[in-house]
Amino acid sequence: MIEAKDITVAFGDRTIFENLSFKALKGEKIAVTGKSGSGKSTLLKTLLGVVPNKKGTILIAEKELNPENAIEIRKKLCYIPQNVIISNEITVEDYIKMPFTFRANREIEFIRDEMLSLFSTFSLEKELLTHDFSSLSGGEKQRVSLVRGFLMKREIFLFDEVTSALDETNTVKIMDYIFNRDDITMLSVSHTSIWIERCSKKIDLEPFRNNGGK
Amino acid sequence: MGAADISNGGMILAFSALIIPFAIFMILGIDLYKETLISVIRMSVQLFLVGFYLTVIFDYNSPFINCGYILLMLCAASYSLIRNSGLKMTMFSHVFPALLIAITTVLLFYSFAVFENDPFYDAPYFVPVAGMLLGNSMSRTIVTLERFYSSIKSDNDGFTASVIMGGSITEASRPYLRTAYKAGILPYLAGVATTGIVALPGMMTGQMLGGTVPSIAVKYQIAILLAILAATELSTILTIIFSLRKGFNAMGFLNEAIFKPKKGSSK
Repeated sequence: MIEAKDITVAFGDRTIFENLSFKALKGEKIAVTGKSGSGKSTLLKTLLGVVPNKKGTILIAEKELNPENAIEIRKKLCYIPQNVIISNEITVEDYIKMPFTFRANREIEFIRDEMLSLFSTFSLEKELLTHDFSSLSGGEKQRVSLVRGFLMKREIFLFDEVTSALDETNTVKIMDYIFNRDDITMLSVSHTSIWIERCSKKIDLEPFRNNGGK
Repeated sequence: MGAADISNGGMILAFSALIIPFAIFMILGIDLYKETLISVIRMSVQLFLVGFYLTVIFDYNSPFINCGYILLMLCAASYSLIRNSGLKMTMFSHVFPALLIAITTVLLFYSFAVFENDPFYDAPYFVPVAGMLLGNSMSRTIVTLERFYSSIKSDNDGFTASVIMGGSITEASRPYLRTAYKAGILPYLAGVATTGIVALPGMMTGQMLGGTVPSIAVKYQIAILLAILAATELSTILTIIFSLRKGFNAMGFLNEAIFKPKKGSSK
């Protein structure tokens, strides 16, 4: 589902990592590890196309990542950043529904019952739906964003510290849901040890770091 | 027809207004004498210059000179707009056409249809009205443009998540546009609503000082305020739309290269 071939990422003359190659097969759950500042979040952003790669190619769902394929690729992709900041006034329900209004997602149907059942799976109160999204706690924002991604029927999830603001009980609930779904491919940056242990594969960025450019 | 001239003595007395801030500076121990003097001198010199070249423009009353002068104003306005929005000058080629279309559309419509100027480019109307439309549009457009890009920048991860969810640039940025647009129009509407009660607009006051009867001056003022409304909304929205091509990259993400590096001296 995700394939990186010899990718090198640099900001100016500072190389973040070089010649990194890996594959994520369908259903695989991968943890990206490495010291802080080793470029873990940058790797996610490179796979999203936010940060351009200086060298190498990236394939997502068998398609090369480029502006022409972006729309098709994004139909399969969900990204949840560490801090989901939305400064505009928007209720939680409207936040969840927003991607359903996008033209690219016209064929996906919003099913309210499915949303409510995901809410209870992730221990979210139904009452939150009418709250302003920015009033939620960090952990609630992350879980609401997860609900949105699952409702959108995405297949590839890129998580940046998705459990960073969650207690262990909620982390385990989310893990049980994600790790039991074989149709979901996941690449995650995480510092949560139980999460990393459960991942089927680990990518350590340390060997790919450029030692010269600190 | 015109207003009575102000004598040289009168003009000198007008500058006695400076005594008040200077007295306050002295009492409070604030050293802003030089700054105040410089800005007042600048204002006076600029206005005398305007008076000089407007006389020339009015004398010639040529469509080419009038339009050329408006184009020059549009260039200066685009430059100042970008500078004050915290963006780089590379935006010029996107902002200039937006202002050009917005201002000329409204200006031509009001000149032909509302004021029925003959010729339509008649300098005493055409040039000052263009200036009023542009001046008012600029301040509103600055607020909206600055807010639009700075709020997307500060929510960048959330915005990126929306784009990844399949949102086009217009779809993903619409909530930000809505907020930015509201931030600009609300104070403006409050200002318009109090016009005539709290403040007598400058143009109307000027016309009456020039001898126009209040009932006519009021009609002109209403028409001008509506022209400003049209020009302002049009410039705001066109500037945002035209800027999108530069403001976002081919992948639909925010192009951070549009922002002027912060030095703490903007605004």
